[in-house]
Amino acid sequence: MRDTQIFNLTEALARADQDVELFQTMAELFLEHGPKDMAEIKTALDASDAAAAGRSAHRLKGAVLQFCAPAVLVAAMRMEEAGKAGDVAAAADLCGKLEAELSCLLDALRQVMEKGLAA
Amino acid sequence: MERHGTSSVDCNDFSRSTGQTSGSDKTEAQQTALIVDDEPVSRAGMAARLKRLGYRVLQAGDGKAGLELLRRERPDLTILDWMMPELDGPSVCELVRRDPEVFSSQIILMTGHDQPEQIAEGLARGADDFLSKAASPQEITARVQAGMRAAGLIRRLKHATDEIRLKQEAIERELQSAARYVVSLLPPPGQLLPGLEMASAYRPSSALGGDLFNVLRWHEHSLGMYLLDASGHGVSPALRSASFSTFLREDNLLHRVGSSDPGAILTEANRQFPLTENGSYFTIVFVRLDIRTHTLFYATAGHNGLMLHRRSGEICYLAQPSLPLGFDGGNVYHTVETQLSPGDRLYLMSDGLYEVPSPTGELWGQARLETSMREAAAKPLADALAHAIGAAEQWLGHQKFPDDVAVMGIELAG
Amino acid sequence: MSMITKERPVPNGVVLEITGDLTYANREQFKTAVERIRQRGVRYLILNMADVRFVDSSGLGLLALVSQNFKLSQGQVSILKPQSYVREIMVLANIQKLIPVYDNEQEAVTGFKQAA
Repeated sequence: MRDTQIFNLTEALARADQDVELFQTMAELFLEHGPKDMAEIKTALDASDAAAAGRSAHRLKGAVLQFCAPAVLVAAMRMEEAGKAGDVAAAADLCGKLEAELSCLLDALRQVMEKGLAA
Repeated sequence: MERHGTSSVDCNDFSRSTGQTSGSDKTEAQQTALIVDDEPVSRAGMAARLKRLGYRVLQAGDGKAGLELLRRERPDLTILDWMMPELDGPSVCELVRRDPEVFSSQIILMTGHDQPEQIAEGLARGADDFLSKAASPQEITARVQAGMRAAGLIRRLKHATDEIRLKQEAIERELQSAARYVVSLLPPPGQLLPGLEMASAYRPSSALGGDLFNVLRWHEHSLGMYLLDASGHGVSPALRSASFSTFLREDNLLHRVGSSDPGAILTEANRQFPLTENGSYFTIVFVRLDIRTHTLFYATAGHNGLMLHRRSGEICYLAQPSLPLGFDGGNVYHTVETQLSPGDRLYLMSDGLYEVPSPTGELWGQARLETSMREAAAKPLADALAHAIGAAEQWLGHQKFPDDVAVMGIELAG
Repeated sequence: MSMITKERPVPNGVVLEITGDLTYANREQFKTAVERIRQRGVRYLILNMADVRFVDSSGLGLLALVSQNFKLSQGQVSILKPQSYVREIMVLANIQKLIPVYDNEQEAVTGFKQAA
């Protein structure tokens, strides 16, 4: 239900200039690195290192940009801002939302990959 | 964290379709792009876009690897992510601009959207252009193509500059070769006749100069000597001097002038060598020495360089004011006669020697030249001349005389 | 160094005021300025050298050249007020044998003798 809204496949494919192989490659890379970036954010917040959390959020944001997923993008941007501002408390607050949105996106991507991409 | 430690230099897979081994062969039309970004997903997207645009693509996953790849491969355009661990984008820019080998590389720095202050900082640290990670495909394409155009222009400019330098070096080699030829025409120093020693110095200001001197053998007791100066500098005067010196050969002079008399020779030369349409002309000192009687016969045309350093220590300049050759086609040049004594030294010299300027612009002048001649009076002729040249160099502050210096000296054995 | 020329008519000819250096670098400019005057049929040209700082060997040749050209069209060139270093150069080359040298403009103006 939310799957089709968490990211826009049509737009994402357009952004990849209709290159299906490229999209698949990027999705695979994201499925591998996205969770790692998220884990880094949490580890950083546990250590009250807002800056490190912000850096990892920045990486996440860069990847998310490729998939046209506005909710995840906004959450990642907010996390990046809080991290840069050194606001551990705010970053910790945002963490749950970011993780949830990211999880949705990853699930959606997995589904798309399993179904195979129609032309 | 381990991710920051490894540098992923990802250049072999989908990027090297042409099989080129190095970026230095730029004769093919395809340009090369280098993308440096530690975030693999966006890097993959950008790399694919660049390939689609027809460029050869190199990739690096961190700043250090990107810099190494840039130095090795010399890509036409480099796209750097801003935020990267250890060596970020702006830092890579700075390092590139400081490296004389690659400082003119075309660099696009990727900025975060809505961060205009980054542009000022990026420019200050060496970026040529900017691209937001959130930029549309159209904007990415436009900026990449603009960057590639700029890179192409810079490369063509470098080629042209290199070609010019190579051509200049070739011309310089030819001039040096011609200069060696001119030097080979000069008379070798040493004993001209029993009892007559000669020394000389030849220092053109550039490879070729317009000054020339020579010794003519009339009989076993009669020598001619001249020092001629073609107006102007460089190749043209040198050619003109060489041609004039052909006129001044013994056989030609006997044929055309009918005598070895300096005045008659200059009078005829004046008729044969008029002012050129550019106003070029010759000045000359011409002497004849009778070795039996020690009589010196001389004539000059617009040239003041005839200096007699008597054994007594007296120094005098023998030339009178006279028109340079070619100024007045009907001018008659007169021969003057004077007596030399054993131990006397006679110098034929170009004004480049006593007009040597100091670093503050003051000319060395004839007075100082005379001083250095007197200082070396007891030395052999060749050493005395070397001493004077050395003193002029000291005055100048280095050894490259700004105006042609040519000196020929003789000494009557005492 | 550069050179500037300016024409000024006098009763029987033209004075060319020269400022700067008469050298190889400025040769075309000088030749053009003089040729312009000669082509108009002017027979007497006075070169005012009061503001000429420097003459090199090429400059000396140029003076001889324009003098010869003017003589070919029944004209004459004279030199006015050469200064220190420039004067020395001219004396050494015995220029006054070829081109009259004056220190006073009035004398220069009246000095022009019609060619026979």
